[in-house]
Amino acid sequence: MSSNVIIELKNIHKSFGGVKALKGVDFTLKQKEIHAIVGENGAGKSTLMNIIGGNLQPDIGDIFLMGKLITLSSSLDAMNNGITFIHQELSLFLNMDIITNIFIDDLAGRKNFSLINKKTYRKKALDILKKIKLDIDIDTELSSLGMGQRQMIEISRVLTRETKILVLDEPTSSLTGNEIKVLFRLIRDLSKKGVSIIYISHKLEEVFKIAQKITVLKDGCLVGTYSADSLNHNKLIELMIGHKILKRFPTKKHTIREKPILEVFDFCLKNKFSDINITVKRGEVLGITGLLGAGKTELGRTIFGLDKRNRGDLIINGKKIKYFSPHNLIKFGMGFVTENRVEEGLVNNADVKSNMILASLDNYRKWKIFFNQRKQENKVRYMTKKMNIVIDNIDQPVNSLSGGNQQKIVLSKWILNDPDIIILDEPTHGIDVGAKYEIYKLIDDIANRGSAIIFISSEIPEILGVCDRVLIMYEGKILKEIKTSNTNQQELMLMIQGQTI
Amino acid sequence: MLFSKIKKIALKYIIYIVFIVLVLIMAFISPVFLTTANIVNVLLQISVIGTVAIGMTYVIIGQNIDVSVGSIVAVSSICGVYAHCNFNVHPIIAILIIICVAVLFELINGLSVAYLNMPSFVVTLATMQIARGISYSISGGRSVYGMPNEIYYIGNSSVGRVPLPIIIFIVCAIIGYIILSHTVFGKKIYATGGNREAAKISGINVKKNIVSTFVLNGIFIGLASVVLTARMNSFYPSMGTGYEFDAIASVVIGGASLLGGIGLIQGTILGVFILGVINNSMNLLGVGSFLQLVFKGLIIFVAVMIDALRTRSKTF
Repeated sequence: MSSNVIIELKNIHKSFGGVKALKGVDFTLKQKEIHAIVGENGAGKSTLMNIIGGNLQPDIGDIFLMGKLITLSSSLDAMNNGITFIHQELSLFLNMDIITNIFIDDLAGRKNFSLINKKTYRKKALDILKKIKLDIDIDTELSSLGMGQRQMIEISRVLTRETKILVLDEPTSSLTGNEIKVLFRLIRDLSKKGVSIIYISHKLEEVFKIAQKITVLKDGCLVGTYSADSLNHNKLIELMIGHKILKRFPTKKHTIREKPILEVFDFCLKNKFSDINITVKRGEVLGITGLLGAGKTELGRTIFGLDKRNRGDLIINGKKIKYFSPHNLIKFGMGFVTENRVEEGLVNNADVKSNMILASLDNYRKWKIFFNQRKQENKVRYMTKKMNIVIDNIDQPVNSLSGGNQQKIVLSKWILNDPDIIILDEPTHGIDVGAKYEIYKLIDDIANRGSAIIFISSEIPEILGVCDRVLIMYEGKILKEIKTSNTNQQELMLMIQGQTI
Repeated sequence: MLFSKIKKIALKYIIYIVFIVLVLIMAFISPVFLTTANIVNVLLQISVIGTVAIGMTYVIIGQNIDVSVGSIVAVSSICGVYAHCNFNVHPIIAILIIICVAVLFELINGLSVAYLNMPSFVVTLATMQIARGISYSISGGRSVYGMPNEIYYIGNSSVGRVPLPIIIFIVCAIIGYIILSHTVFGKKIYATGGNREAAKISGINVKKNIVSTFVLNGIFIGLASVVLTARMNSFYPSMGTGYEFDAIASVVIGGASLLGGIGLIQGTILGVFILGVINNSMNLLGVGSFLQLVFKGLIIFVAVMIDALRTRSKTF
């Protein structure tokens, strides 16, 4: 065994109930290495990482840390061995300030009645904030920070403790372009200092940007470990899904009709956006892109009546809207897929069939008040088949499904309501490649039927691949409106940073 | 593997198992337990509290709680009794007054929770005191008699051998079950309690639904109050004391989650039966009333523990 191997996992097996999550996986991480792990949802990435992080124990298999056989029986155990795991769900304390959050491990390790030397902590905290280029007062309470800033704070905790191995699970899912740059610089710095990094991400562009080695998992088995230089984007996807893919985006079939269906005039939400004018036609897919905090999510929510606008008019099908509530706007044919699928899109403990008909409940009345269960089951079965949703049965709770299948259920919910306008906010967030393609195809289908789609996304490639027209938002204003056929990725990248071309 | 499967099934049906075991044990050790007289006695005891528990089920599934139910039983009763005794209103009007007062109080609860965003526990804690205080003020803290025969019959006549209060309870249970499990409105309550944000985005009028759960609760409380007033043929100051405890306990024993979104009327009814049988058993076995409190408390503790185990077994 070469001396610079820091951790080695051999023949790891792990089952949950009857499901085999890992079937004999080997994994080797060298010192200073930035090693990405990729695979579709359910490939076993998280299970493997949770074993390294001490949260799960393998059924069979050995873990060697610097050549010594060890068992990691808890996350604390892993931490004491120099393994730091940063989860996708942040473990921060929203009720406390930045400085306490950064040093919480250090504080937790102290005796209960030892005095806290605030001065040294402050100094250290200021250093850390400088390093991660975060220009905020360290006494700010965490609840007033945006998601991106919170993520950076979480990652900055690594700097306060002795870390040999850093595991990052989808660290950029809520970061903007600039924050990602800062994060990558931080990762490279850490790697130079001798930290080995395991990087899990769905965003393959990022994987190629940061990783030196890439390990591919599929269905609980190891496909292989490759040096990043030896792969390209398409080849990696092939390895992940096990067969060749033809395209990332389906061919557009939909045609834009003449009639405008949604018109937004002079929309304004204080401190979020202002002077917004939008017209969408039937059969059109309109993209809205911009950095985190540009106001695109808020704009979507406000058009749907979830946030109360300060000013502005909305006209649907020639009718002016008087009452801005989701309840009323749905009656006018609107639908909304939220960015936050788990917390806002689904009733998690409820089953597939209840979730799918949630937006069209009133169509299942029998004799005015009774609930028509048979109609529900027929519709749900039909949709499940049509949308290619993989489930055991329609009584399964939705929290047992993969992200892709969950998102298809959210989409089905709206399609069953036969909407004229659907607003999609980051609909492919955290979804694997195969399911993304299907969702793009669905969007095209919906547009083809004559509905209008507002597609909000911060991923430029998908905006270009799916939309007809794109609005670029910057600091709450529409900076530019452009046909996707007249622009390219570089141009859009510059524009979302606020540069006009 | 097999063990975990058995554990899962056992957890799922545990209240049924507990109920059957309880009945079997009591049948074995007490010769009186399975006599018709005793069964009717148990059913009579649970008919009022059971009706209140049905209403509570909606509130809890909607992710709220109501601790004011007992006091509202009392205040609505005194309003009806007082109106009849002092203004000589028709018995039917008196009944309507009882139900309307209960609905009014719950409407206030519901509106405060839904539209003023006040936590339901604190709101109903306040209305609990207010309602109890009003009932004492009107009655002067004394029992009030003088209800007409028509009302007395509701509480004390029988259809065949089955007392009317039991029939009213059964009808309430069936209606309650249909509303929750077989209407669109029921589905909306589950969605509202399961994930308020998702329900809102799906176009469900969440606030209106929350108010509806409280109002429905009020109707059932009103009915319970009518039956209790009729059975006792009077208002008495301690009326309804401790009902909130028994009602919440029954709902939780019946498998509802205090986090909202989960629960069934069938479960609640079974919960009511379990509590009723345990109360009855302790009386038959001569357990002192002080010790009975300890046991009842323990039962709730165990029920919540089972709920916690169940949710844990779901996530792992």
